Amino acid sequence: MNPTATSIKLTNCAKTFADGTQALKPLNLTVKAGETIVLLGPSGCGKTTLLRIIAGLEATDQGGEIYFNQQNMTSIAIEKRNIGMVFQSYALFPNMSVAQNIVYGLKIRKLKPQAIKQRLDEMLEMMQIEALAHRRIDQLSGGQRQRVALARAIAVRPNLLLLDEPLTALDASLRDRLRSEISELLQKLGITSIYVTHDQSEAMALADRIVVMDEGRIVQIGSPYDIYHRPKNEFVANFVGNVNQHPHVFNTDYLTLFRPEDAEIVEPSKGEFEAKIMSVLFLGDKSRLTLDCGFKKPIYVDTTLRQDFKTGMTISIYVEPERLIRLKTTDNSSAAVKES
Amino acid sequence: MRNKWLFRAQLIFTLLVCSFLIVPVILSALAGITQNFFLGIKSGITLHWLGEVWQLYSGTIYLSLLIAIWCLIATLAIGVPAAYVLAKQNGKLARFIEEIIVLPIAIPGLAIALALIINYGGFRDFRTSWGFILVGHILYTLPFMLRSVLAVLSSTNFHELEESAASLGASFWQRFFTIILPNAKSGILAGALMVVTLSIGEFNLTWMLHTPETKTLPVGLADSYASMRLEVASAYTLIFFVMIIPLLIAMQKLSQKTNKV
Repeated sequence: MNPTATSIKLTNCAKTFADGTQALKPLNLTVKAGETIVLLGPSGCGKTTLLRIIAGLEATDQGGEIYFNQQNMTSIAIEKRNIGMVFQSYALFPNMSVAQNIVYGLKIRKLKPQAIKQRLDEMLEMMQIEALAHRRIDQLSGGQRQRVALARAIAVRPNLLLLDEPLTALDASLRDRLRSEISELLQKLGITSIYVTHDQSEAMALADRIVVMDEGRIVQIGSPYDIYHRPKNEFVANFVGNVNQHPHVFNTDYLTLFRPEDAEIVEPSKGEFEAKIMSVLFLGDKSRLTLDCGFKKPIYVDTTLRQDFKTGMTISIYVEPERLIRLKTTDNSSAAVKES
Repeated sequence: MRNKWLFRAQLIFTLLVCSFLIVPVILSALAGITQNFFLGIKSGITLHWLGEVWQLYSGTIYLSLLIAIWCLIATLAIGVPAAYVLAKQNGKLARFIEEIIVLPIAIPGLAIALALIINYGGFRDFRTSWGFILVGHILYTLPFMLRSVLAVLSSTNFHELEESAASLGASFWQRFFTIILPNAKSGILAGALMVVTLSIGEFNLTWMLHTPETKTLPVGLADSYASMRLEVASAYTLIFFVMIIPLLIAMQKLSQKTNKV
């Protein structure tokens, strides 16, 4: 871990906009030094607002407080917070070259030319963009812009790195590659980082802890493993992956769910219920079956069995009891159920 | 085959329209350097009329340039910050203010001049100074500067650029000078050329606002058309062209450049 890493504490932070809409309900959040936190949620859940409050681009409502380490930063302007920020559109300065973009924060900090040069070379090498140093911004591809934006943000050795959906503007294959690069980078740097995304796979791959948000509230905080396997309510269960309602376990107090990959296709004698295959999506490494078991909603099952499933076949399904997700139904009344 | 004829017909028509517009300009320019316009060019070419214009009207040329420069300074000082603020605000009030500032484009120059005279004509020293004309010119040219800068600012996501500069530690003034101004440069330049061109050529307003002591070039032109030999008036026009055409060409070049980017 980076010895200079900063811990973050938010207490009672809320945001009401001028038109009266409350984007963020009062919330508390602690981020440990060196930790990578991902704020995950659908658009309009308040995750970007929360990030902007931490950055200092928005002020929290009266009563909210923000601490970096033990220092109260609530009324400190963004330019004095020593953060690094990567924007969704990268916000690179079009009037400057790649190198000038990267050293912008260093020049503002009035570092000596020698130190600036050294830091620039270090950043160019780290992000593997040495060849681009003198290019203009409009001569860069999306992935290259992304690297420059990251280099610029970390060049100033920030206390805190904030990333606002940095991969959204890229195509899928590039997104996957940069995702693992960012993950490695964050590990290596050990900077406290807060990453905003609506993409659950990005959140899983990057986060030490995921903060799931919905309608301006924090719904659940936990490790990716916890969030996936022990979701607190149906909204979280649905948002971080696909989930089925178990057709045969009925209880008015509990909702019993299971994930598509936790269902086993077994011999009829061992099955809990039978279902008819409505469609088969063969993905190579696995098949996704859409099943009808006389229930309103279809059931999705992922299987790695080497069997050529056909529409219309009837199969038997078994889910191990410890793999079932049980949720108190009262928790779900307020949570929006996302159709997946 | 038919297409070829159509093309020729169109070309001829276009050339005719162009010559309809350009021939008088050329004739006028020629008249300014001809000994005697009624005898034609064979009477000889001379710079005499230009010299005469210079003697009679050089004051108006200086005054026009002086007013144009001050007008530019004022519209830069008012227009650029105003465009920045208006681009930053999305509210109804901002749009309303924008409309108000742009209003002088729609109002006849004479009406603006009349309003100025009614309201401020009583301040004698002000009324008789060229400052009075300057105020009119600023009112008239400000919308062009504002619109031009505003257009550039709204086409770049300068809001996010500024936020990212702030996140890197830049204070407001550092952001303004290192990010906002350089990125609005093309709009500022285009606006500046427009302001200078319009100010030098402005007649409507100026004709109402001027005094015998404060004549600008276009007012002097009108004066010479009314009271001087045709050759003098033409020589005067020639000087006006020489001043204004490079500005127009620069404006054209600049807009081509910005369109390409």
